[in-house]
Amino acid sequence: MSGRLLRYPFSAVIGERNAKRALQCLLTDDSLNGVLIKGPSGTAKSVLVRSMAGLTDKDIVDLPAGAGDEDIFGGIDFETAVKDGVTQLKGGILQRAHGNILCIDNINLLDPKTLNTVTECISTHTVKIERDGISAEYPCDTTVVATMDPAERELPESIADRFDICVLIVPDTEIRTRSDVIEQDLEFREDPDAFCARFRDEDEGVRKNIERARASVPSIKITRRDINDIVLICNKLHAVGHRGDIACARTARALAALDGGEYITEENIKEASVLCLLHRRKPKTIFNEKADVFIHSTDAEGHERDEEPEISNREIAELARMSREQDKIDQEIQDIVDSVEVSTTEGSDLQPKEIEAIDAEEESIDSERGEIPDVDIVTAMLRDVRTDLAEIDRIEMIHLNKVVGHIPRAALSSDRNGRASGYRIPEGKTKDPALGPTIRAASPYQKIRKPNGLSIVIEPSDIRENIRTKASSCSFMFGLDVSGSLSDTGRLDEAIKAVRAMLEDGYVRRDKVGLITFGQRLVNLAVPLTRNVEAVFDAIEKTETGGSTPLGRALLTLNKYMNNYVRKNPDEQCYIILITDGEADTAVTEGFDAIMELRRICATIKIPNTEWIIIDNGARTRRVNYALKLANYLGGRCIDIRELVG
Amino acid sequence: MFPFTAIVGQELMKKALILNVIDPGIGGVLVKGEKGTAKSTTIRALEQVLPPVTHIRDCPFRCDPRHPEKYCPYCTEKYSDGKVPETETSPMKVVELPLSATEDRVAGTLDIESVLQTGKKKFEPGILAQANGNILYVDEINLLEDYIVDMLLDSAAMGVNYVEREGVSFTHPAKFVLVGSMNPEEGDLRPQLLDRFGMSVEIKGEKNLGMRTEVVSRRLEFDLDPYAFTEKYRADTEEIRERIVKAKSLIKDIRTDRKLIEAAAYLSVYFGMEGHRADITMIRSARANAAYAGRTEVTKDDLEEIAPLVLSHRLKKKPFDKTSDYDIQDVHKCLEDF
Repeated sequence: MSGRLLRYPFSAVIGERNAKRALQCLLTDDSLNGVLIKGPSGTAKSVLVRSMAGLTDKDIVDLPAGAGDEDIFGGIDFETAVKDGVTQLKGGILQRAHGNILCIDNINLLDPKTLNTVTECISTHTVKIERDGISAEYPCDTTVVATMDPAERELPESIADRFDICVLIVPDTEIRTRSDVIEQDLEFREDPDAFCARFRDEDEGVRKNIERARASVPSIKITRRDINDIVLICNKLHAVGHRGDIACARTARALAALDGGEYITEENIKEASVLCLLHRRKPKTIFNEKADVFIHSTDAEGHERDEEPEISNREIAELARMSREQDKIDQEIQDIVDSVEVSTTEGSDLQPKEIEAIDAEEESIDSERGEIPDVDIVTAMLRDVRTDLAEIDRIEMIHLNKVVGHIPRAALSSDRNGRASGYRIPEGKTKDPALGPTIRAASPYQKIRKPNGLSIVIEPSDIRENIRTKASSCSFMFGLDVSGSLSDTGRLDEAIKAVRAMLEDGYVRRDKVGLITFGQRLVNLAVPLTRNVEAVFDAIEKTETGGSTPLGRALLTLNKYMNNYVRKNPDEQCYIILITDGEADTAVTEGFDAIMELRRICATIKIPNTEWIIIDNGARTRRVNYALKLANYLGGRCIDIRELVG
Repeated sequence: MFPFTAIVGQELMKKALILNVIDPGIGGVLVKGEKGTAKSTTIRALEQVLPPVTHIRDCPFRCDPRHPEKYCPYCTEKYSDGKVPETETSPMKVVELPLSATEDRVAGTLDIESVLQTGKKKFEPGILAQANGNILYVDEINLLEDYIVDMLLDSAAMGVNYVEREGVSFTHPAKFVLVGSMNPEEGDLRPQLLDRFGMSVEIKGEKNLGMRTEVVSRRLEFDLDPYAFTEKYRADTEEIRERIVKAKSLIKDIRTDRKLIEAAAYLSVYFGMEGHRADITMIRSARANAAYAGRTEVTKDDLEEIAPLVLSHRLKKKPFDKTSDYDIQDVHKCLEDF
């Protein structure tokens, strides 16, 4: 949503403390790299972001979902080109974002290629353009605030990691606050001016506080003890990379400044950890609520650790020893500093100046908090951070892309459907000319061309055509083994759980899905590929289970059906997801050994544009992993169901 | 056109549409139903009961003269010197968005003619411009490309169309009531988009034999002599339009008391709503419902009547779970408890 005319006051937004704190931090310290706000739809994400306008002199520049590359990065200024015959750059949205705040709503729905280029420009603070005969670059120093609804699609981790802070908006269940939200909305829409006036003073207060905090940031030292604490917490929460550590340190400092403190407190560090580490923890998907409790792992020295990796005295002693030796920690800090991209803004990073501050600190060890982390304090801090994070965490679903890997979501379209994502010089005559680009291509030559009563003369060599991409839906054919060996042991329930989770994903994305079941000596094409995802679910509920496993026949049926389907839908990427233990026991030809025969059947199967994925639903203890074998025969991948269901 | 008032049954859909006309802030209607259940007929027929609106003459966006801060760029420029714009009054319309519409036709794009003739860039308005102040109807909205649906919902929610393409940057008011219809057999909308619709109605063909007979006979009568048939229902149609006009002016004076707002919030929490759209829409709809009935007081009954329209498509059921965690029938019980 782009609320350009309606501007809700920041102070009027009820609740959402974390998000508000995060945005204030961002305005306090320019070296912080962006805030990502995740939350279900209708939780005032966009409203909150837009309300920042009342807290800063900077503009809020929107990057709308429909913007093309030309609009985002810029291109030829065609009016000057026509008038003066000069090719000159006209900057795009990113140029307007320079020195301002760039706001990307629904960042997860943006075209991944565009998104990558945008993040690249932002982290290098420069936009380079090579198009329309223009070669230029311009600076782009901007603060990014993005929003997304995680239920729609996840953001690639590499992109999420670029955001120093990530907050999740947790829906409010208090009747009182929800009623307040309704009342305020009614008032706001009835008389926006009067409503905004009511909150003007409060917003002004926040604004003043941010200004004061901005001034005090340089004087707040990040002590070695602070860094030790942060590094320990990041380590324990399995934060990936060093960005988390740095982000925590800076955020803690910004929080301290906002609270009017002169040094960073434990509270600041705890709060900063919650803000900065939510999206950086690993492993987070598999263990669900127990996100950071890892079952079994080995630390650097190869010692096996126990279940709960709380901080032990040994580790503290280790840290103390390292601290005495200094070099190791210095190295750590050096690593942190090195890993920061070189920034063009002055003094914006955790740079030598700060390190000096740290060194100076060494002489007179912080009187309040010693240099060496205290076991009890850090453990308590860690526990609090975990509790806070767990509260935010929600059980994640099994996503299809976890099963099939990267699913291409946009395919070049061969006809005039789909959205124009670019243009090219056509081969021969084109049916789909791109008017804008054609005129731009013609513009520099207008000075030398003869006008035929027209203002712009277009020659055949100017003509460009659209490159169109379609949001391609994929097709997922599920093959579900419902034979007795699974239904009798309860493993079928696991399989259905997994299919259901994957179906929900397909439902969200509007993919086509189908279902084939095998068992009871029967192969049943229960649901041919359809967009009506619910049909598959209904079919699963009705399936009769038990009996033998006619796996071979199932493969042959799939082969026949899918080959037909692919012939009719050549643009579609198809996946066959077989959920089975791979233990065939009924041969197609009577008298053959079912498993031996399977190998020969697999050799004959060939379906274009289709990938096989075998989800191994076999017993834990068995002599031969038939599912893995089957995957090998079919040239597909094999995934253990326990990896998915968790 | 088949008379709105001659449509048999489908009271819920009619109610939802009318309430949205009374308060466009409700946020549109999604009509789900099998084919042949008079979805499109009803929505197109809505035009007959739409109230007239006053707007600036000769403005392609039909700007509202009462809100200078929301003028389109043309009007802003034209009337910047404080000149009082000339106005005219015309009825609201139902504007249809064809499925094949491309992004540039929907949002507007560079005016090629102007570029070729003058060398100057100019914005050419699209369907969203036409839709401003009107009803925008999308048949089979579930088959529309996702990014176009996104665009529609964004504009509908914010009342503004913000175009940034082909080097033109343009903002114009695009305040409309979005009405979508779909046949769920052909796949559903993304759940996140569902939340953006203020209301939804699920409609079924009439099961009652008497009603079915009535449907058929009215249709036959209409086909035989459309003019006479329409004439027969003119008074009824006129009456509904009058009621809508009255309700629109009445709604400004309706206050909703805290107790009722809390009841709406309670319903939302009970039914597991995450965002606040449902809460807000319930209150607005209840208010419109009271206004339509000619009352200035909103009651629990209003809330109870409209709650299913607002809540049913937002229920956090597992998409495939027929036995959803909540039953919309609980609304009554829930309000009693409260």
